[in-house]
Amino acid sequence: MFRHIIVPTDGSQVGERAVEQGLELARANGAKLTILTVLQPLIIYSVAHELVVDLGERQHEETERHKRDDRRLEEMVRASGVDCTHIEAEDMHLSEAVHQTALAQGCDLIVMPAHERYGLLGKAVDSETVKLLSKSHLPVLVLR
Amino acid sequence: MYRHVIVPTDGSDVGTRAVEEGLELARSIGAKLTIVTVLHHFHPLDYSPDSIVEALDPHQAEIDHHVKADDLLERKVRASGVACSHIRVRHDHLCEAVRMAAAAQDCDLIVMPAHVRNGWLSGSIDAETVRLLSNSNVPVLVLH
Repeated sequence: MFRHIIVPTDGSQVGERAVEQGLELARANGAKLTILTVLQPLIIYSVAHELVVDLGERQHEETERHKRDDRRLEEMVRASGVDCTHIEAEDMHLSEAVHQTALAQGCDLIVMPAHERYGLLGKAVDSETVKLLSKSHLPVLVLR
Repeated sequence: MYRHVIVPTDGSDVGTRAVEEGLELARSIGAKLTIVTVLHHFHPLDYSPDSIVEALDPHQAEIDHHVKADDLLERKVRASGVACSHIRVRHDHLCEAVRMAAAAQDCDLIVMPAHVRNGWLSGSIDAETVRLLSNSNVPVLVLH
């Protein structure tokens, strides 16, 4: 059915669960998996000036956290035995990063993590997912 | 992985293609498949008094078309060897119909057809799909 699956993660628990499901689906289909870690670039104007002094330290913490997350992901991949590559990208918008990478890698299925939003109107689907669905010409599996 | 896949169709070509993809997916992961054919209600108030008699005819034609499309589907299902059930419901909204059917049948994956929009909406995703993504409790595979 599917030959090459791509799953984005931002290092959160929701992202990790998506990777798990992506791995399982890839194994069932005998497909390759590409894990895409999307990091948000640091936008200096969005940080209050009192906090700017801590930026170096914060950045360091972030990188450390990501390294830990990556190690966990790699263990998961090794345990599953799926043919897997891991790419990192920096983009403000998850949907754009996923769309571009899926095109470049020739993927045929995108697995999207279940980022749900709750608010005044109740439960709503994540806007990045909607953007991706409008942009992409690939099938998208939206998880819960 | 997924045990019970559900796919809605409205008898259109796009719906039929979705059923084919659903069948292939169900076979590749060893899942059951439920096909829901969703027929619109007939709304007499949508017609003017002098055109309602003619309007009834196309409605009958729509039902005939569905019966024919269903026959074709059932042949494909038999050929694929997937355990499959077929239900028909009357509902004005595809997303609501499939969500209720998925809950009633205890499905764990919904496959949604790619209703591509033309004209100035061509870049955007079908509104029914977005509604389903917001309301569904199970993962949704949106085809393209």
